[in-house]
Amino acid sequence: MKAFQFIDARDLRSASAALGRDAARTRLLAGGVDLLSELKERIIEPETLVNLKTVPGLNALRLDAKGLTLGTLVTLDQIEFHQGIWKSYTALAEAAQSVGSPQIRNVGTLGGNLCQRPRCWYYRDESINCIKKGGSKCFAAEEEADNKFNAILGGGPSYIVHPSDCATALVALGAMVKYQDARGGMQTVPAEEFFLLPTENPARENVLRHGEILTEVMVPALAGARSTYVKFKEKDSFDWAVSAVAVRAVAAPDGTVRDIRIVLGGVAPRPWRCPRAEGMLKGKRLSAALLNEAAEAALEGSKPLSKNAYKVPLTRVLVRRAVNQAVTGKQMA
Amino acid sequence: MPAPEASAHPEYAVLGKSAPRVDAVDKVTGAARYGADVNLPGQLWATFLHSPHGHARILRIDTSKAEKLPGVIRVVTQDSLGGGATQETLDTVHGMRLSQSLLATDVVRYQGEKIAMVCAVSPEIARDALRHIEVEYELLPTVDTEEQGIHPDAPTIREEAKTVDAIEGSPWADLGQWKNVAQEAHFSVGDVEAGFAEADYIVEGVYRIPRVHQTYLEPHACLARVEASGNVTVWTSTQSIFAIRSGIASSLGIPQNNINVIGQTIGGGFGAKFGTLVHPYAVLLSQMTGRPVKIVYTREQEMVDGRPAPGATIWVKTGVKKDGTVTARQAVGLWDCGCVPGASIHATSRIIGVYDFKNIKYDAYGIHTNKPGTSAYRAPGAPQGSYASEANLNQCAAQIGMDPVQFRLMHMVEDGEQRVNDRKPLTRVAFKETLEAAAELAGWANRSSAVNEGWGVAVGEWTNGAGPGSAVCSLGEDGMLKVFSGAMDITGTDTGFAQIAAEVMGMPFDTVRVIRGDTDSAPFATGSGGSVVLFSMGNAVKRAAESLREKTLALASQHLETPIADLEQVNETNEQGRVIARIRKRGDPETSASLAELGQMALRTTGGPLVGTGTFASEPSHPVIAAHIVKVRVDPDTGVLEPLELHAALDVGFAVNPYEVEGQMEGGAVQGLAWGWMEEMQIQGGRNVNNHLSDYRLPTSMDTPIIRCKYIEVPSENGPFGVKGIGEPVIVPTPAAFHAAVQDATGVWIHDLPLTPERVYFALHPAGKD
Ligand SMILES: Cc1cc2nc3c(=O)[nH]c(=O)nc-3n(C[C@H](O)[C@H](O)[C@H](O)COP(=O)(O)OP(=O)(O)OC[C@H]3O[C@@H](n4cnc5c(N)ncnc54)[C@H](O)[C@@H]3O)c2cc1C
Repeated sequence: MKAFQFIDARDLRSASAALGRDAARTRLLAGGVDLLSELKERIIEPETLVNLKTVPGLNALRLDAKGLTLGTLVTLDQIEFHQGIWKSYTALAEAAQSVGSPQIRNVGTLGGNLCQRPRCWYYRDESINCIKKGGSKCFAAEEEADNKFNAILGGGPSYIVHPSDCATALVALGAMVKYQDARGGMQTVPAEEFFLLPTENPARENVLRHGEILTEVMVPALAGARSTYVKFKEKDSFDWAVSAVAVRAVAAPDGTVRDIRIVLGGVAPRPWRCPRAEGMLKGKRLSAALLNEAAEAALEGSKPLSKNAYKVPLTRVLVRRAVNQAVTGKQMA
Repeated sequence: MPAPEASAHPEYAVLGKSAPRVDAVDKVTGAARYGADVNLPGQLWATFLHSPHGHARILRIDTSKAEKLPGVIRVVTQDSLGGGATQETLDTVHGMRLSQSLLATDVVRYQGEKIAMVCAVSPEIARDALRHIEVEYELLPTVDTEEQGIHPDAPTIREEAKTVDAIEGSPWADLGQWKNVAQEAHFSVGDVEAGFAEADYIVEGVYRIPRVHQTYLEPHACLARVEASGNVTVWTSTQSIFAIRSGIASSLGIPQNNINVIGQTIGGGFGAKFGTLVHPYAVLLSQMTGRPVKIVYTREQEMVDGRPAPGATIWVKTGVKKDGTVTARQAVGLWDCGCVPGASIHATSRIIGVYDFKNIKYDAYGIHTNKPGTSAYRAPGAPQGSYASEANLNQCAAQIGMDPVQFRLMHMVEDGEQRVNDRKPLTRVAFKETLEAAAELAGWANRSSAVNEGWGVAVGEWTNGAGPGSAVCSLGEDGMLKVFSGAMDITGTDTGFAQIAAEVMGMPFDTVRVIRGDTDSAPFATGSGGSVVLFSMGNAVKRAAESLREKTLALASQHLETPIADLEQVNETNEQGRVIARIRKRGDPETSASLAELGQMALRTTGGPLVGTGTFASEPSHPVIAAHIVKVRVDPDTGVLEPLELHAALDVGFAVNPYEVEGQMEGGAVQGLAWGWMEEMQIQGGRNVNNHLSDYRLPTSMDTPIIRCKYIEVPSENGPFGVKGIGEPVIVPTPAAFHAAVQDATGVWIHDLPLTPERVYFALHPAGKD
């Protein structure tokens, strides 16, 4: 790791000022779980780290009739152990609980989780200058590449997948993301629009430009909604998602789907919504055939790379399970 | 872990009991000092420029910019060393040797190969300087797998490698010739063709098991200091201080006697820490700079420039009759030895197994690939060879509809019998008993499985080696015992030494301390591996304690004016509440001396201090097997496998410390399971893609199933108190047992390990591939 200067930010404005405009020279630090490994492996070599944890008020957690508000510094472990979140926003609690190991959840923050950088091993290799690091190509897209964890949907020109579990759950829950923009103003965007596709900007995964700071996440309450996050890992004890599905659904007493949002994780450069599958389910009652059709529709347009064809059938299975769980409240037999 | 029966071995006071580990408190409290924990004033740090490419010609190296950086003391390339310097690495206990130029010259043959080294005042500066070394490469095509390597059109990795004629009948016969052959071994007995002709069924398959890293928690670390006299001191984490000494001596041409190696507490080695990996470099740089030099590898360096276990692709063909008779077995083993010879290809012989098979032929090859050379990993070669052999036997049993336990019992050899590769009839083996013990533990005969669950069994053989060594036991003026040797403790053997010495001396366990010497002070001790330590060094300790006991009794006899035959030893509690030993005249408690009194008295006699030495050279042991039975559940929709139960049985000869034995049994089973289930070094186009522990999947305690252990004790002839070496057999059968359980659960044989969800899914849904 290269030596750096460390600044404790007093407030958002000073944090933003300290960050300045040059992304190569400064970085924002929250829990540091992801940032430290990037520093250690010299993926980034900033001269200055700006510590966000000294800014007061960013770790508030509020749950009321209108919804759930989470400061960016709320830790994953706080979310995981919050009974109210389990009850009303199950998908988020499940997503937070599925992250890494207990140690990581103790220090990892929600904002850091949403803004973490990709896990693609070509990106994480110091000696490879891939498109995410300003290079000209995505090494994962090559025929001979080992790309089993890369994108099957929404890829190009970069084929990373978004690594955040909470992101997938929050998009399904219809969350809003609040941030301080470069001019010091506050902006609010739907989580769905917060994350970007590489066609918009291959170097970034979300709308934040350097110096902009995520401050808060708000999840609206929705009467009668039930949600779930189904994550598939290669190693059960801790791992990022090979594929994941978050679903929030409102079902009538007779089982008719009134409202549903289906979001895929681990398969695309950003959380991936499945509008056609959602449309197919609305107003209907679940059947095995309908679940299959919806799962097919959810993966519509998927284009596996040379070594990740497995993700397609796998994700279909997860869609069926997650939809069934969110709509009926029961696990699939 | 179930508590071992306290009642075991009432004939012993200390042996056969689960004494607490002598190093437990130091390790748990962080007091233990590992390889990287030593520092000297004025020390420098060194690191390496590793090749980023799997195969390339080096056209130009320019170190001038790096040399000019403030804080950089030295930059070294093979050229600046004057060409021929090599690193010589020897694993004495497994007889494995590697030789490689210290730094690359004209060609790099794997990603991670050392090209230059930088020595600087801080690790950060050394690391920074690497960026300022300019290297121009001409990329060459790479070989990722042994099957690619043998292809006649494959790139040449070493000019001196051979091309051999393809073995007829093998899956690669059509190639005509096989290229990139670094080493070969052949064996043939009986007539396999006639055997195959007699068979009712021919059962064959190609079994692939990947290259895996030993993934010891502690990366390689060493600190070297060369004084003006030329004397060298090295502090390091190693399985053998004496192998490090000879490795440095032969690599750098320094007289062995001028080198002192001090072994720190080791944070795991599993076979990879016998020989030198970073040591000669630190010594060389210290010679050049006159300052101590420290090298600590990172995990990434370990992954690209360690010496892992070879992967192998083994074709096995077996002729079997309906009644279970095995008429012939043949194998061709292609072992991925990386860029230098040295893979344990002889383990292709595992098709002989612990069975009475008569017609056998195998041909084994080490094939060059663009990867580092390999080294030992717990029973080197045996898990790979046994996977192929045992998996194929499970298929044979399935083919003829015979229970795989019965099928094995039908063929297992016993005392007095001789396998085709045994020089003498077997003695004191317990193959059948061990397998039966595992079957009983698992409830094999009445096993039940729900839908999508399955069971698998396999056995794995190992014979502990023996290595020369010497130990010293001395009785202090305080009546306490010290055991001194140069053996490194990788598995709890220091605790075993203390137990053996305490038992022989009739002393309480906690009055014994085990002290490790360095290569200057300690007599030679065998490297710690090959399951040799308790067998060999245990004997040395036992003999040293026996000699000490004789001397102690002689002194007591003289002092108490009582013949030795009339003396007895008792333990009593002293004023401080400690249990201490006392020697007294039988029937006359007043005529007595405590060991402390004898220790003090010895200093005033002509005999001097009470010291016993014990030596051991080499004596034969007996093969043992570990038998594993695994139960697994599959999710057919996703391909996920969940191991539910693992039952392990092992013949240990004699369990000095039951907890330690079970620890070895569990640890080995987890490593074997990981190899079949998720572990794999993924190398694509000569690049190691999963060189972090977040991508290189290892099961944690949260992932592993319930492991139940049962050991049996058929004492060995030459091991102390009947000990057989048990550190290695315990990893051998697990991949094959797991493989069979997956077949039982899914109905499909999947021969490519590890059995990732993806592989299982596509095996179950062949149409789903596109
Ligand atoms: C072994 C391991 C396993 C992991 N497993 C998972 C997993 O299963 N699922 C998963 O989702 N993640 C996983 N992670 C990734 C991640 O590190 C954690 O999820 C954690 O939440 C990151 O939070 P942090 O506060 O430590 O982030 P930091 O490391 O402090 O920050 C991460 C990034 O976000 C930026 N950032 C942080 N806060 C803000 C903000 N308010 N505004 C703008 N930018 C900001 C930082 O500059 C940095 O680039 C894992 C990490 C490790 C090391």
